[in-house]
Amino acid sequence: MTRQLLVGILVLLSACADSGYSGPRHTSAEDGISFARLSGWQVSRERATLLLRRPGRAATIAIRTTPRQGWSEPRDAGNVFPAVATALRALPRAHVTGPTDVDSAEYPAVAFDVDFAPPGRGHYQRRHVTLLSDTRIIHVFLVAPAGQLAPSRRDLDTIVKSIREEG
Amino acid sequence: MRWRWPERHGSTFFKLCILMLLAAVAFDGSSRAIAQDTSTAPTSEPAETAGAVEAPELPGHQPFTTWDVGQGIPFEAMSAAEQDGVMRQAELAETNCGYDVAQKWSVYSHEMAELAAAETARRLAGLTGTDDIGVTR
Repeated sequence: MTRQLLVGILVLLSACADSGYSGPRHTSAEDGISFARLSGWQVSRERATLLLRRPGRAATIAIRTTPRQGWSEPRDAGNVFPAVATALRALPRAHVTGPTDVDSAEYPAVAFDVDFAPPGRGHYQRRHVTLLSDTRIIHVFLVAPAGQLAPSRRDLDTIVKSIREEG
Repeated sequence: MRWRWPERHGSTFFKLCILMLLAAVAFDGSSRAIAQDTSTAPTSEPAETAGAVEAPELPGHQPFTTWDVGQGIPFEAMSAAEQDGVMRQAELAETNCGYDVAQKWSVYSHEMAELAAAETARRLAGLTGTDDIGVTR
């Protein structure tokens, strides 16, 4: 009886801990990934980047993938995450916080929060998550004018949680 | 008849002797001086210095000569204006430009290094061309 109870609790805990996404998915063969299809968001592809925009919101969610191979040294957490930090610090008048670990993703991931100010464009905020899948570096980031990031933050988290390597 | 040395010729003879003696002394001294000069000459250019005419030892740099020729003037012996000029010349020689330009070049080269590092980081991370994504207004 006690053993059955323990097994039941373990099953329940594992179900609660499961961060997988089971809803409809959007698949991009070009980028080799799939992720949650969010209602109200339109997906397009520009400059080798998937862009998700929702009418009525100033925020943009972008997804960029690149193979881990093809560099002079292996791309891993030891060089990719610091490189992301360097690239984000190079944004105009950028203030970067992070990296912080992202536990909800299926792959090792870190997040950065950036405030930056493109010349003549006012202030912007960017939540940037980088995942390291088996064969790809996957960047998922949300960009919005300062103060307009919060309404789309949950959608970003859903995509980060659901993103999966395909093919 | 006994031959006598004419007094007029005698005085001339003694004058000649004294002149020859002085000439001998003078030759002896000059050869010693040349010997000393060649012994202290630089060993790298023996052929040129052996036959060279000794330059007069005037203070300061001599025109049409290298800077190591001549006695030179100690920095402390220069006037304030000359010291300032020497320091300015040294600075120009060191940086090929003035202090302001050197500072600007330093800032410029530092910025260029940062840009290069950022570009390398973007390529490594696969973020090239993503800086302005989402910047709409």
